[in-house]
Amino acid sequence: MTGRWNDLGPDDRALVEASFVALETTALIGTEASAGAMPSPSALWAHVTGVAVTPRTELAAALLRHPDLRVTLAGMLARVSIASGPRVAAAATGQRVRERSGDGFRLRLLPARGAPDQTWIMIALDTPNPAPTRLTVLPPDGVPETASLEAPVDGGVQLLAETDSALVRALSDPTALVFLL
Amino acid sequence: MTGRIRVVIATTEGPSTVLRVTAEDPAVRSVVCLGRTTTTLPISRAYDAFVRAPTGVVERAVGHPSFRVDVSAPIDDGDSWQLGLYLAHRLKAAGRLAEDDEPADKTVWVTGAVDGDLAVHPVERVSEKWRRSEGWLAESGVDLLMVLPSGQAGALGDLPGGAEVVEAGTVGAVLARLGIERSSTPRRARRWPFLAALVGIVGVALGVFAWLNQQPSPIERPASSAPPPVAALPIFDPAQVRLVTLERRPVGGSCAGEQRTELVEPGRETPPGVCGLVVQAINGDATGGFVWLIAVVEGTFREYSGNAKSFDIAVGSFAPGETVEVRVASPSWVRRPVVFRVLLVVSGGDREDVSRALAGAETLSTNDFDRLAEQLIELGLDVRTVRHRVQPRA
Repeated sequence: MTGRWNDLGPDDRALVEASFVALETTALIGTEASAGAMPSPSALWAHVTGVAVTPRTELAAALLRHPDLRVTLAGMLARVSIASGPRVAAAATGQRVRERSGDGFRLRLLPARGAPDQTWIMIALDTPNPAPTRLTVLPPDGVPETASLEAPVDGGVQLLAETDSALVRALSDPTALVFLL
Repeated sequence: MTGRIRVVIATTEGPSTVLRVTAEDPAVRSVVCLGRTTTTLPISRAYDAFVRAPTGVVERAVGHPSFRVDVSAPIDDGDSWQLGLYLAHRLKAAGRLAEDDEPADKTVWVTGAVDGDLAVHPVERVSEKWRRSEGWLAESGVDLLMVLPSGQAGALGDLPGGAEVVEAGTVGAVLARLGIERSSTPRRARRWPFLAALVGIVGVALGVFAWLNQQPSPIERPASSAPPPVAALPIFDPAQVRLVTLERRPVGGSCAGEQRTELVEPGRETPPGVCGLVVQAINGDATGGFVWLIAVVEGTFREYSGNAKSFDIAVGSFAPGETVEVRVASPSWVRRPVVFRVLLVVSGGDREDVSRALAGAETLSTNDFDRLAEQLIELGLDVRTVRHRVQPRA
């Protein structure tokens, strides 16, 4: 199946649901339901769509135990997102980026002149409709960082964050993936 | 009245002190933040409209389109904050706003709405605002000036000893009471074709070098960081420089004929049929400075556009009241929207490092252009950028 979640009709969404039931059943057959088990695909999907958010610590533990889960999570985020941004080609290992662009948006990190320890996250959208309501960054390790977005003004969204916050650190990591949901 | 003044905005939840006013990167929309944190207040969107020209009145007065104001307590809604924040901007521009822990010679407790003509309008619930401030005012023991719209002083209770009341129908009356002059107005337009051409020639030569490197050269900081002694001289205030964007449109049906100009709000969509852009920087300061103004059309067609003027630059000293102007044409053969980029840098004097950095601007990519602007900001220069998208063909 191709296409984005937001573009799907009721029948297609029902088909997705059925697929998750099947995948979940398969997962239960192959794995004991124990404390260390991988979150089921439907639980992960519910987390990604915001229907039922998995507690941060649980998600962090699961991502640590099951590195493959990060790939699944990235795939789901890409499927449900309005726009997404790939990894950035950095000139050197460990280099931080202040600008990144993706399919449908451009994101810049600007130092806040009013407070040296704060950073503006500036997002320019190619098309303001549908407007994203969340920004999620998936770093190569650690949990995804998410921030709520206000409605765009003239095709742009801005938010202010602490420079040393996990969100800004993740955004400036060239190997992180960015999603607008 | 002289000396530093603290501004306290009256709200129905209590007084909210203006802690700091900071000119932000022009790409940022103006915001009101709570106590230097990342929490932006709900009035931020209305405040941005209050600041940014042509609708906003603050940019018109101080020449910069984007600010961050930090206040000590929330201001949730309404428009009674307008007079207080306007006064804070004017005091800041005059170097007289008491910020953070700076001592103040006087505290202005203020409420009032301001319209586009700078008339002050009555606001609601003044007596409630007074009651919520009464305790703070009594305890603070400051030299107090109460500023309200005309006819609303009756809502105040017993004033602390020595407090004065000003009822104002216009912002001008309050500014006069505070000892602040009205904004100066630009006198005349003037182009610098010769200087622009000269810089253009140098730019082409250096641009080849920049193109070969594909990246803007890092800006070198001046070898000597010690500025010349200026203690006895008035200091140029970049915030008093105003940036104006105008679209050129055909009077008849074609851009080849007579054209008229129309003031636009950069970034806001306008009807198709734009022949080009005129950008003016107006020095509203009483002191001269130095200016670099660049306008360029985004797109790879610049490389083969021949005689079409898709880049213009003006560089030179910037006398008080003077207007510097650059003009760029829309590529008439392009059917899709095109984007104009403008970069304005102003400083108190000529800087070789800036001229050198901007010399190759003609050949820079969009990302390089932004990176260059950020480098200039990091040098502590007053930098403003404009991005304006137009549809050339009607």
